[in-house]
Amino acid sequence: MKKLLKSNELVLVGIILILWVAFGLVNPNILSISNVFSITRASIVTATFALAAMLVMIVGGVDISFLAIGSFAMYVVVKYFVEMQLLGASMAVIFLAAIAVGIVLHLINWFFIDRLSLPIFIVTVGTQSLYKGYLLAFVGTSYITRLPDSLRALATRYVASVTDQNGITYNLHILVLVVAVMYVLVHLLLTYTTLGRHAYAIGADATAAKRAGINISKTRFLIFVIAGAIAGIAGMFHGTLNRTAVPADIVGGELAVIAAVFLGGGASKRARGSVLGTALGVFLLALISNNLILLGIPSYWQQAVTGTIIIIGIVLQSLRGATQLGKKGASS
Amino acid sequence: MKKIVELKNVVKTFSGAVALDGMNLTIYEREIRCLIGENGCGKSTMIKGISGYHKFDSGELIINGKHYQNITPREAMDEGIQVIYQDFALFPNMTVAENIMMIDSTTQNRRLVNWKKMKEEARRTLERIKFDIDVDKYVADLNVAEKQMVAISRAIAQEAKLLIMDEPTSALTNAEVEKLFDVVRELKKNGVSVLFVTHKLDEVIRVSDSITVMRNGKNVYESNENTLSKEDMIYYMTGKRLSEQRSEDVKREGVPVLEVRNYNLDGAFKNVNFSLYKGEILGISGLMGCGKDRLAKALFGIEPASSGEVLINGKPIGLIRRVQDALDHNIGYVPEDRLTEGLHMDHTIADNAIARIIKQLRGKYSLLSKEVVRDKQDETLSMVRITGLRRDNPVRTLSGGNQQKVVLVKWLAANPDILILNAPTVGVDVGAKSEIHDIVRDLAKRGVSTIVISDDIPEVVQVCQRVLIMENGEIASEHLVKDITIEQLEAMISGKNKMVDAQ
Ligand SMILES: Nc1ncnc2c1ncn2[C@@H]1O[C@H](COP(=O)(O)OP(=O)(O)O)[C@@H](O)[C@H]1O
Ligand SMILES: [Mg+2]
Repeated sequence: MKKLLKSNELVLVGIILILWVAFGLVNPNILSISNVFSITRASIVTATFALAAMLVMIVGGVDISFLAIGSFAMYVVVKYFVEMQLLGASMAVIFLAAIAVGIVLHLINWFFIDRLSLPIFIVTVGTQSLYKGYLLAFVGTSYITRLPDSLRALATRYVASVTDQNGITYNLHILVLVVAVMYVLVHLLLTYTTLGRHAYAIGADATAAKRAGINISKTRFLIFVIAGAIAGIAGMFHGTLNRTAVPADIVGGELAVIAAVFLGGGASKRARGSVLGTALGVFLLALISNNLILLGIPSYWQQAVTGTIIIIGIVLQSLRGATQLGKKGASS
Repeated sequence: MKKIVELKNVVKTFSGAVALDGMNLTIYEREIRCLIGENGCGKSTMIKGISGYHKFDSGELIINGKHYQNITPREAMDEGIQVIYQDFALFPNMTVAENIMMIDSTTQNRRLVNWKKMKEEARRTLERIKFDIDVDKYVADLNVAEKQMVAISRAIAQEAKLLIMDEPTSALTNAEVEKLFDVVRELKKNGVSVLFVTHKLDEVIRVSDSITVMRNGKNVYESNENTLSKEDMIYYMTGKRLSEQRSEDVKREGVPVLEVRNYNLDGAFKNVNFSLYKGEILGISGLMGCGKDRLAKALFGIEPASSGEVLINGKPIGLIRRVQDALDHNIGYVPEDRLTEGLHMDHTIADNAIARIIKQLRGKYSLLSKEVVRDKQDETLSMVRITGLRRDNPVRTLSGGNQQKVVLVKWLAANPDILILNAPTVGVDVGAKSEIHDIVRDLAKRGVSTIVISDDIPEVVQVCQRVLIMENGEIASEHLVKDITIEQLEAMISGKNKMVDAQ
């Protein structure tokens, strides 16, 4: 834990605290627990997708296709259960189906990346359009508003609620806890399994990893399976919370998710992709956009502010990285 | 003595190009064997063949008495062979402990990571080479020497029986090299053999028990003792007797190509007078700070002199005040620090070769024609032999010696009449050095007049016909190289013979 909190994560916590206090001075409501509830709820989907994007970043590339994969998995599965009149299907079955679709789609990426030695970014730029196009062309374009019952129930399952002085109730959504558990699991996977450590090794230097006897294909395969599964789950979360299955509505928002991962240390040489950092990155971006809405700031300003924070975060990381590079250059 | 590794007549080609051509090598138990050879002679290729990274085309590889046809990296590790590559192959985003134990995790097929145990074992390994470092530090934050120690620890954590180090000292300071030698000797005491690959001859003499010399992909000398002299090492590495080589003297007749009169720059040099004739190679030598470096820069207009006069082919042109003045009179200059002053490291060899003359290649509408550029690149590159030359590879991929050749080529492209070479072979291995010398002699034969600024006395004697010795900013003496020995010149420069005179 001590190791984790070093450097980047600490900076993020600092930025979050400063922003929080600053926002709170303008609007004391922001400091309330209800605001925390709404920020976390707004982050559920982003946070889950961020986990999928982060895993791929750890093995050395930027994935652009995770939203397309999540959308595809969610829409195809919901459509299937609805059209087959399986509205009473259990939640576990529906989610497992989405996970399976997510895995298959991500393994197609893996095939191009591993077997044909293509860069992750290039492959996923291609498959992103491919998946989105296939979804719209062959699966359907209509909105499905009648979701299976288990998903409808899940959409309003809360674990805690607070009522503010105006009588408005804020709820802590159960998926917030689910996401938290997923983060912990991925953290354990990355920190305490050989698979996780090998993933970091490959991302740092694939040649060195090969020389150290690491099986690159196998490690990447497993990481893509996990990332595909998480993307499928994230897609289901999105459909569930929206209470409507819309095909490919989120595709195009990849950069905001990737920005959160970058902020969380994905761009730094040292800790490329950290679970805690990613969580903080997601939270920071949600904090900013949520509170700017509360302050009534126009949305183009929100984008500008978000962009500025991302740039600052990444510059801070690369400044640390740059000094290391400098050292390296001087001695060689 | 037990043999650990034996190579018999191995051959390795890369798409037709022969890298190993019948190489033989034997490494015994508990020995420090130095493997020396010029850049590109196949040392790294041979190592990669032993470690299973490359496959030999033919020949025998016998490890601990067992014959291997196609050894895998895993099998090599299981036989106790560990390689420390030139780039260390460490993971910067991980801690020292994790890096040291990384190979362990793969060879033991472990599923889970026990951080506590990992750190303990890493610490124990570090103790074995008496290296003290915080195992929680990230490798990205270490300096080169520390990274190397981590790489060594990682290798011995695997119970290595043979540790192969590929040019381990190229990025180390002298003190760090000492430390490395201690570690290597300590390893030997613990029963580990070391194959120490280098092209620095002093290191060989100091650390080796036994020596193998490679040239053009095969062993040309192999001994179980370290009695080879430096001269002989050079001879085996290059196939030439360096000391035999001297430049033929030239006739200094007619009008000098360059004449420098009363050149002065406060605090750097004063009252410098000399002439340079066509086809002549003139050395300027002296102790550090004697002014030779600043004189070179002044002659090229980088840091102009404050007074004096220069005559080109007898015509007075006043002072050289700017680099452009020098270029206008067809003077070329090869800087001392090629990395910062000379080359665009990420661009191709071919592009670098014509970087200086690119403007002259412009055709109609100032556009460049691909064919013209390509022809000029080929013509320029053909002037110099660069081992492993692929015209479209970035310069960064070349060894230091070959990079220096590219710098030379770049200046030769402009066909200078006068060439100033400032410390042309600093940091260059012996083979490349003698090739650079060949180039300089060759240019002189073609009529280029050259000034070589160098404090490498053997170099001065081998390439120059005449030498000026500077002392405290003044030219103290002038000698014809044919009348003088290396020892005399060395004595004169270090001021020893003055003491002799005084007695
Ligand atoms: N992977 C490769 N592909 C093509 N040629 C190679 C490769 N590796 C080495 N070579 C060539 O083989 C020769 C020997 O190289 P190397 O073993 O690296 O020499 P050394 O380590 O002695 O400097 C060089 O001419 C080099 O260009
Ligand atoms: Mg080499």
